[in-house]
Amino acid sequence: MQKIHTPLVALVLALPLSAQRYDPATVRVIISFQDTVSQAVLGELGVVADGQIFGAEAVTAAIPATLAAELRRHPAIEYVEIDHIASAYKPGRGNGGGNNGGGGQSQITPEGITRVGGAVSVSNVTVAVLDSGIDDTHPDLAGNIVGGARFVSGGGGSYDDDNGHGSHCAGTIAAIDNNTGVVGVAHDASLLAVKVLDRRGNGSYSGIASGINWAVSNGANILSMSLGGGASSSSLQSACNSAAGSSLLVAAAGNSGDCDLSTDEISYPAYYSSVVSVGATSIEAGQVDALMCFSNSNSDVELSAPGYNIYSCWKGGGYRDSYGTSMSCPHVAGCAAVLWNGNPNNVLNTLINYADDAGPSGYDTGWGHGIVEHTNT
Amino acid sequence: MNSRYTVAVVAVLAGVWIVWALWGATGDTPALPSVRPSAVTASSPEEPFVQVPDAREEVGDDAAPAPFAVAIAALQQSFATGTAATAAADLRLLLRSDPGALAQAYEALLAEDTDGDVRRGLALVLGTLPIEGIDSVLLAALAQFGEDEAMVISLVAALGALRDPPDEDDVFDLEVAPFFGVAGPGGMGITVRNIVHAPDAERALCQLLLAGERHNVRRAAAAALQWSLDQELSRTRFRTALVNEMNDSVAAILGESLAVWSRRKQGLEPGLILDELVQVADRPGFEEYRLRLETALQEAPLGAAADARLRQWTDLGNPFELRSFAFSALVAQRPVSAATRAKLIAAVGGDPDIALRRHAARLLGSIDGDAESVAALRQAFASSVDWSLRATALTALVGLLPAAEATSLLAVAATDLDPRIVRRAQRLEREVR
Repeated sequence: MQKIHTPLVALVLALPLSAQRYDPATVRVIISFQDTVSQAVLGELGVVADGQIFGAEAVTAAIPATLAAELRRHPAIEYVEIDHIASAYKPGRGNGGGNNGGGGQSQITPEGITRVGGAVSVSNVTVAVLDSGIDDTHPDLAGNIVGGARFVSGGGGSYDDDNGHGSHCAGTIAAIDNNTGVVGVAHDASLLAVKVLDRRGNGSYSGIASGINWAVSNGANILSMSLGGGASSSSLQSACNSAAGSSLLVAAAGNSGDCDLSTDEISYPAYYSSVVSVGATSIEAGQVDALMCFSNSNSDVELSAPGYNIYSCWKGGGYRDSYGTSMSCPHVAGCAAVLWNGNPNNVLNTLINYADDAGPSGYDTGWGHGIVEHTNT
Repeated sequence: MNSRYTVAVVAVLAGVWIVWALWGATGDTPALPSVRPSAVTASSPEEPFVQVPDAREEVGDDAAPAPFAVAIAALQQSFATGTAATAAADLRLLLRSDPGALAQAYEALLAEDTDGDVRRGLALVLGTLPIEGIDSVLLAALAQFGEDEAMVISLVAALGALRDPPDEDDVFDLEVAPFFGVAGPGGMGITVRNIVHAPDAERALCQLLLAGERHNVRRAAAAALQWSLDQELSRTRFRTALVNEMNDSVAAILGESLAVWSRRKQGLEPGLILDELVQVADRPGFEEYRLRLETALQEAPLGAAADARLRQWTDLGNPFELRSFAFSALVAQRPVSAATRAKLIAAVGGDPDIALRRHAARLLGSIDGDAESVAALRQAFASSVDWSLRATALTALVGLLPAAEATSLLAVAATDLDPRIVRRAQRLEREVR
């Protein structure tokens, strides 16, 4: 399918550099308003907002911690919470021995893609990749990118990928079927590059909430979020809940697993009921479909997918192997794109009902309902 | 330079050439993750840095001083021009590719006549390099310049710095990587988010955490060690430090990281830690501490003592900030106890502090609803004169009620006389599936 290229949308959440740095005299918070954002109220309380969450009546600010209680007492303010930090889900240092090389002369279908049903053509489906951006000149990705936005500071509004993680995820979802490099599950799905993670793979909850709201308002059918943090957040949850009315949200379960299905390891946004949480399995010979030890287990894990030795795109036009629940999440997002019919609940139910049961029989907290497989339907 | 530091430098220099020779071959060697097909095996989330082999090479005599001198001069000049991140990246590339320059960097770090800002910048650059032996030099500098607070903070940051990737040098620009960043001279900065594996470095940071009057140093040490709590030494020192810590921002780091560690562990120690964390939460001025802890305690299994203390703090007569924290912490437990739910319902219904009523209504909406909770929220929405409480109750109800009932309620709210309630209803409609 030939993409129709709309002008790339770039948007910067107006956070000055100093606002995101650690300042021990202040704490970074999200201030949500009961009604509309009021500069008058902020002025009255001596707060200087440095950004507003896209699509929400909430601002971000660095305030002295002593001001938090005063803000909470004010009738115009719904809540005040820490603006926590989320990170890309890649385990440990390194990224699984990647080669950073080119894609070679011929295209390969990565084993993970094959495991979930192979690469297929789709039509009229848009997947937003909330991550470190997408390499917007990558030969396997550029043709599918239809827009994007940036919700981290710096970079002049570009959503180009300066980390690599986002391009890897995007490649698993929709690397183009073009006889070079790799091919994605839904190889002609439209991609929205929503840069919510910085160069080192970290981003604020406020930025992620903005990215979710922006993606939905720009037509994303499926949101793929290979990221997370350990803290719950009203702002993040609200953004997820709102988006889930029209879109399917998929997130990495997290990489803090302890090899014990009886204990819970929790990450947000994956743990929210409005988000599909994805665990990681192996594709290695002799261990196919085994659950990776690093994969979080909890009662909210819905599905699992390959998450080890996953070969996909990288920044700078490259390719590499990587592992983590980050790599599993886009497999599910890609399958959702294949099955997309306009109804997120319906698509989720189909994914669950036709998943390959693995591990303990029936539902379990590691594999969830099983390993996603779009051809089972 | 005294003899103690000379010994340290000589020992490190001997390793420099060895590492340099093998840099390319040993760079990024992650451990293979383990899998869980049936048997339980341990995962290894972190892997060692570049390994130093046993083989030895002689230190050459032909190390050219010029490149290092040029790079340092560029770094110093960049402090004034705001281009320190670029100059630091150039310096990093030189240090990881030229053993002679690395040796000179070690000497410059410890030389008394090195400019203070240059020394701080150099420490930050060295801290990003995954080269065995770097910690020894940083520790030697820490001992030598221990009275210089700004230098100590830079060295602490360097000891806790992220040390990858080995082959990318552009890692000092806080504009494109601001999170977990520590700023250095001239606007350069590094990401402090590492597990401090080296025992000497861990011990030194623990000492700084516990000793001294300088809260900025204690804060830097806490930030550098907060990812290392799986290590017993760091964890026990964090607990000790928290008992005595009176500075809010230092305590906030200690408390949040201990809570996060404890809630994902089982056994006796996590319970003890959680109790300790709650014990100090009523300290005057611990605003950031409470703000961070209320979310860090999410689903953390509090013991009976902590639970009782929090319940007591919800009582009338305590300040709003303590009461609201206590309610939040109690609601963070899963499952939420019947006693907590009853307290919330009572607060929504008639607490004399309207701000506390709003807070309780919001919390009530975040837990599984029962008929009594819904009734209390409906009552607050229908009859309160405070529009803000009504808006909060409406939001809570939409989260608790089945979709059909929520839709009916929103239809009623959409015709409310207060336009603020109408707008809230419109916002909430998106969340009803």
